[in-house]
Amino acid sequence: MADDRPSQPGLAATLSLPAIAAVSLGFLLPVLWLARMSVNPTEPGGVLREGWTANQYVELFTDSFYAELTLASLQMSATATLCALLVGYPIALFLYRLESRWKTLLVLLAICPLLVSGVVRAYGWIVILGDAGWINSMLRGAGLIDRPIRLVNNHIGVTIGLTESLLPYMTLSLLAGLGRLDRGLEEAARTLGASPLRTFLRITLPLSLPAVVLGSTICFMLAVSAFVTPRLLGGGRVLLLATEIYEQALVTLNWPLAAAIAMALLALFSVVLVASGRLQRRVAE
Amino acid sequence: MTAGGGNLVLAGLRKDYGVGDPAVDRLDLEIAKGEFVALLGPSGCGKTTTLRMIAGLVEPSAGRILLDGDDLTAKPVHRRNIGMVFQNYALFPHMTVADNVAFGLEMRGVAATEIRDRVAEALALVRLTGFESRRPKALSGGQQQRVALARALVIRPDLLLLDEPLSNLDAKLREEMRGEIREIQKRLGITTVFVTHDQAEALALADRIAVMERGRLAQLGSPEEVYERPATPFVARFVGRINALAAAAGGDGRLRIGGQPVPTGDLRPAGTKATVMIRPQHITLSQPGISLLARVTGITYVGDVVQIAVAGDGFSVVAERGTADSSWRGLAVGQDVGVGWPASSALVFPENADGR
Repeated sequence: MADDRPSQPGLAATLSLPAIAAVSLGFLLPVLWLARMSVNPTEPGGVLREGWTANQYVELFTDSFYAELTLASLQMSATATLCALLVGYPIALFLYRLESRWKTLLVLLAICPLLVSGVVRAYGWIVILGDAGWINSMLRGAGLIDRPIRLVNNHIGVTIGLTESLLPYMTLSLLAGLGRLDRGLEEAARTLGASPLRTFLRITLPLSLPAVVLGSTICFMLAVSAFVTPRLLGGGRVLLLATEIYEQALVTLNWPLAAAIAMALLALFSVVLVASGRLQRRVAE
Repeated sequence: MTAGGGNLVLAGLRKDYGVGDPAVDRLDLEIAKGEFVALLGPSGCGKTTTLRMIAGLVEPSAGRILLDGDDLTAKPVHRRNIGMVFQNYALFPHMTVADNVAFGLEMRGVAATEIRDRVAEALALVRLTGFESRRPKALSGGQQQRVALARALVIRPDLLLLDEPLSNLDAKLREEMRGEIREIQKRLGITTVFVTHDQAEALALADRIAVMERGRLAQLGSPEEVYERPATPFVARFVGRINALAAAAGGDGRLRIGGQPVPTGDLRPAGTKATVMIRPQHITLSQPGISLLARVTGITYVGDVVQIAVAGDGFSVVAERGTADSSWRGLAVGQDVGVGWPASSALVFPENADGR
């Protein structure tokens, strides 16, 4: 159907000026500044000097430490995203199907962790998971364990913390993406002889895949760039790309290297985005 | 292609949602093997709830559903072997036409070669051969409707349920599909329950019509019975157009409107009030002086028919004439006419016959 409204490219451009300005000032300029920073030569003690060198990038791509770091980051993010998906999917499906006046309230409840700062939530997890925390106290009180199980300052703690912090984003993106799911389709499958499980596998799950890809992409990106949770719950023992950037920028004061790692992370994001876009188109068919 | 036809019995079926009146209440209905029954009623009358209870999508609060003597009431949906066509067709958007039709067979563990043959047969039945690899969204409304029908029939169901399957089609296509559904149903001899709010559709398609009102069965009968001898004023109003006139019996027992006696078949005790109902095509218009005196208030030309509205002392009715009949052509708004009808065509209901 033809759109009869006269197109007004001038007006559209004018109206998007604030957005363009915000993106330029808040994103493009800092990224350009980072890119410039990443090719400055480094000097001991963190003295900054203007210049041109590829040393940082050479180090990044030759030192096996960074390869391990990248792998660890990808692994951790994938695990946390998968956990958030497994926990968030049933919640989103339940909320999507709910026909109750409490629906809005329950959706708000599902995303209200976003109202609390990540630092506070991380400390909350330390209280729960720590050696003298609730879980260990309970298990010891029940006589199930002699020594506390290490649940923080390691990968377990970071995974739990990341999963929890991703959950609201996952639930929201799944909810937004479940639009194609129609109760009538599931009912039709049931009348055609599909058990509830087969109905889920053949109808519900395939139709929710676009939502799954969307939610997983968003959460994966958030997880890779997450810094507070790995830092606090990892206790300095869980090394990831994001924590390494912090380390280089604020502890070692090697800004050019920190900038180079950040640029590498940005490249990684682009790859993930393109792959996700392709996948999205495939599953949406 | 063959399909089983079962004998369906609904016994004391009831659905109570906990608030307000029950959606369906004390519904008894027996549908013979191979019969085509329409559940007809306005929205909210419980017809769709009844259909969904038969399918197993809604759990009855009380009562039983028997198919060939087999109690279905506690059987889960997927073990009932009932084919259902949904109002919006509910075709699986992520599957091709052939996969949609094959779905029910796959769920039954039918061998791949047999599935291929039966899908081809079902698509041929609904004249969609060649559309196997299309996606539902690449089909027109009528074609989607046919796929839904093929998908429901390919499993050789004991019972076919149709939930307002024609309401999303335009008028011309609706009439075409009406004939097609009837023809396929007859050919397969499959017991069919059809839910509709369109009385013309019910009259044209069904062997018998179950008119529902507020969760109850108001009347069950052939299209002729329901149209010509409605059991209640509600049925009379809902099935076809009708004029309703408030009348009271005079001292001689004859019903009168505004003091003038009107033609009806029976006598009533003096003083009783009644509603006299007459189909528009039975109203006769003649020279003033004969029967009730009235004046023409409007003439509406609808194409096939012309509707003539007349009003008299304490009543107003609409008469209908086929446009092939030229007797109405001399009439003009404001003209005085005599209004009458054959006594045999008047339906007389005691006042409050609807229980309102």
